Amino acid sequence: MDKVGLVLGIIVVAIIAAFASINTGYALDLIFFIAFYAIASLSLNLEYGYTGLSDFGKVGFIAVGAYTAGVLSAAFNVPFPLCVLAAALAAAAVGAFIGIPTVKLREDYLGMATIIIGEMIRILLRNTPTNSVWGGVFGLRGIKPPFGFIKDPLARQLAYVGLSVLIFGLTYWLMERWGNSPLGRVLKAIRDDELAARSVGKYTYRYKLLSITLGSAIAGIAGALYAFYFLYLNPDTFIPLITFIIWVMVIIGGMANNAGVILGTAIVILINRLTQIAKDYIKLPLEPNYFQAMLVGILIILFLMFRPQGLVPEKPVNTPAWRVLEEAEREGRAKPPGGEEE
Amino acid sequence: MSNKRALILALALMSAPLYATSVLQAFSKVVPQLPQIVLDSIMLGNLYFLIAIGITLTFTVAKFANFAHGDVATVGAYAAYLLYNFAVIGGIVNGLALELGIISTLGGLVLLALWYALRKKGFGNTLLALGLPILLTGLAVLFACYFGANLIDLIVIAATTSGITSLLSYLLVYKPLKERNASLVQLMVASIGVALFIRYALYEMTWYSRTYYGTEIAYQNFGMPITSYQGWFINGTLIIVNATAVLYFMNKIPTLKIGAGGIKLTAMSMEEYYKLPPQPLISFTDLYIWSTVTVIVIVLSLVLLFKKTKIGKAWRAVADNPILAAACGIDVESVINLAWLVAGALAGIGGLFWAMRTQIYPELGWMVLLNAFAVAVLGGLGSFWGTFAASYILAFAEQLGVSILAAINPQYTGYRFLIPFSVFLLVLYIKPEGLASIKKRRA
Amino acid sequence: MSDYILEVINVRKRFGGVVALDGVNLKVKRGSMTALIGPNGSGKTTLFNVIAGVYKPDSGKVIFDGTDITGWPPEKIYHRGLVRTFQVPRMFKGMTVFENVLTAAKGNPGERFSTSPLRRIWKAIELKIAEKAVDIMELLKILHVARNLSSAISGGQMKLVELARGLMSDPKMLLLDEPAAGVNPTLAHEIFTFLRNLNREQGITMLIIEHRLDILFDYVDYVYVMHRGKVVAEGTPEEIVENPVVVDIYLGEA
Repeated sequence: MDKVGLVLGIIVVAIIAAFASINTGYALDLIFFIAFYAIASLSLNLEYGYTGLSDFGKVGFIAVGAYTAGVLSAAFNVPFPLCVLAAALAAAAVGAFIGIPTVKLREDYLGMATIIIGEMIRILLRNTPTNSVWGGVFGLRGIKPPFGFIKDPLARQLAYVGLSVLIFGLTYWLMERWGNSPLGRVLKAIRDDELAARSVGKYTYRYKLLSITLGSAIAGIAGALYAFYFLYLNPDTFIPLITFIIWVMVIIGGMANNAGVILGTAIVILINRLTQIAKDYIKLPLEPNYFQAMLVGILIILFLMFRPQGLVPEKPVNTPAWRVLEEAEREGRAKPPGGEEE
Repeated sequence: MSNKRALILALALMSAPLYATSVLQAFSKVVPQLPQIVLDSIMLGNLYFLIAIGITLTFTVAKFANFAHGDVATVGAYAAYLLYNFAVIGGIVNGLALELGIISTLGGLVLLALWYALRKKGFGNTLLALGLPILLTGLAVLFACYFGANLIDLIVIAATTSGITSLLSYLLVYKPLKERNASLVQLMVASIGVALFIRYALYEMTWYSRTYYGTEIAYQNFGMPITSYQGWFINGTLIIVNATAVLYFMNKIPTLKIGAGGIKLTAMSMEEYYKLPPQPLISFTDLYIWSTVTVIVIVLSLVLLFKKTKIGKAWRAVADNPILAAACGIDVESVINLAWLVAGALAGIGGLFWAMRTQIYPELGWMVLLNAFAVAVLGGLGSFWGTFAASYILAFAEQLGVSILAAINPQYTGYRFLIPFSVFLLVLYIKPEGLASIKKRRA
Repeated sequence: MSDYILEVINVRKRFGGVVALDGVNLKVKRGSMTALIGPNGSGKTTLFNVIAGVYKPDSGKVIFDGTDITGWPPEKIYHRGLVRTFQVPRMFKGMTVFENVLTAAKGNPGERFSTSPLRRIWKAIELKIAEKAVDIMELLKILHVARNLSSAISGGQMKLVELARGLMSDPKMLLLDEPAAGVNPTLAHEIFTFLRNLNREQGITMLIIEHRLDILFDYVDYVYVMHRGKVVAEGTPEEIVENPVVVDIYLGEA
């Protein structure tokens, strides 16, 4: 991994360990948030980092997943794994719905469409009747915790956070497998020059549509995890700011670099947590939540201007093909032709 | 492609009977409200136009959808709100306002002087683009301090502050990014960054005001007294009454009568007023009039700008083909600066009227932005007349929809936001190029 | 099997008020190296764009290897065996040269979302594709820059990468838009020698847009001349050089 990334990664782990030694519950909570946001960031990395799609509605797909899982559990006592599956399918359906007309248009349209669908979802959720399980502005309650049979709350939290980390690990594995395969090359090709990609036979519409559908499915899973952690959902949690926090995680971390994205996630969350703590000790004439949001905006701009590749730059798609190249190089076939190029 | 459209149409037609009955019932309740709906649509359309046209204008030169546009409008709205309510407090000129006014005026003059001195150098035009609005801002503030802010003053300050914000966002963010060959998506994401920065800076401002001055400036009414009017159509004459005067039980209620005999401005007594039918045919406020007049003035100005002036024609050239335009000796930078300035200014004016219509709060512009996107896409991204037509079409669809929803069940009016969004999705599915593609392409 | 692998029949295309193609008719003989020449703005690249599926023609037909491909999208045409390179090379800038060439391969099962996580399924084919890519890059003398980012190579090398990509799919025919533009004369000759060998040994038909008449006439069998959206002359290189219409066009524009 890139040196910058390695150093920052060590710092992140150290900070988390420090928290763990002081307050296990707090550290577990921190780890959950990192896992949750990391899953969401990885899904955005698939859509934007690899395929170049401008998904500005990520929070909407997370909300779809969260509420699908929440309603199924609270109203129908559906077991946890099925809720997660349903969440993924529901979010995928919405992703496909938005994707079908827009991925063949220019990126402006996808950006506008995704942001609008995100807000539509939030407004629809707000307007659900408050006396129904959906809860409208009062929120959705009564989600059944998956580890409810464990008596000790800390142990229960540990179990669930452990499960979340496991699901995060699976997501990461999947992303790396997709990314380091011929598929990864195709997606990057679409991102870099769609016309050229089509001119070498890639059906770019299908790939883009699949990318946003699967990305939304994964976001839905993140939403389900969120629902079963808090056991309560409120529509006003799912505001556009969340989408852009996830964007800044991907932009900071590194496009098309899954490890980088996780680093970016951890950094953003730690900054948030540390600022919360610092607020109690340092009195500044600033409201920290608003200031952090301003910071998100500034970071987006600064990174796009000065380090668009992120903290951990993109790496070549790693497939067995490289071995063939290595072999050829060892055989001396890759010598530059005598003299200069033009 | 046509198979898909057929499928969508079929689905729409098949599901129609499901809600047709309730809709038809509601429709019959709605029809008598049509004159009011039309008036409301014009007013809403004006407001949509003012915001959406900025998106269209920046799109013509910058070629990307600017997600910060709404927040730029909020800046102007807040500037006007603060000026109106706090330039003069309790009869005494606010020292801070006075200082700001003086600094701004002087700063503007300095920039203009610099521009004049460096006119030949080339980058001078940026100084002009910044200097002029800064000067005007200062003058507007000073005006408010000494004469009290009137509508024109508020329009000026909203326009200049938003214009400056918009131009700065271009100079500080988008221009450097373009020079670094940023992709379309990166520019869009950057505009989101700008949007977040502006919006949460405004939130900070409201927090600061609340904490350190004890003054609440979020979710407030604008505070400007606005007259409302009511109209009846009786015996072939349109009678418009100053309803605010009625509220104050004035004995001479200003009345406008338009009929076969011509236009008469008279006064009505309270007795005569009570003889009128209880439900007026139409009701509206000053804001309807101001916004309509503003839009007419702006449309005429823009049409003149684009058709008659040198810089307007240069703008069209740059929108068409910037490289060719530059090769023809057109100062592309000046045109781009102007575009950002004008787009911001119009957004600011729109923001002002939106704040007067609803309330002033930091999310104001953002909430309107999404609707403005729906308008811009319906009209066809980058098309002036498309945006103009789409503003009113969408406003009408929304107002009609709200009336129908209210007639079905008053609780449903919360869903009014879904109407522009649904139109947007519909346009995307059926005809993404929007209305503009219906017109013949000019050679 | 027809004599002609590519037939363009009365193709028209306009953009707004500008008529780019005004009824183009041309036929490319199977196995030949045919050139398409003409002054700037005569519509050559537009014609390529129509044939390759980037634009749909307003009217007319394009027949490739016996199949009507009019209006087909570029990806479908690629799979039929008709490959097109760009005048200004379009690199996948975020990837290395090696990855650029690998991407152009057809039929790699690892390119599907469903099968890519399972390496076992596509590993063997990927290795074969890699061998082919290495061979082609070696032939085109760009193997030594395989690990470079495709944005970090010279313009001439980019053109070679374009060519390498084009060859990955075992095409029946190549549409080459100025394959040696901006390249020094020595390298240009090398490229054309390479192309001619490819043409003679593997029977790949080629339609080449090229400006430099002198370089072209050493390598090409037949020439079409375009002017203002129409084909105005055709023949062997010798015939073309003598043709007064052609001389007029080039002198008139000069």
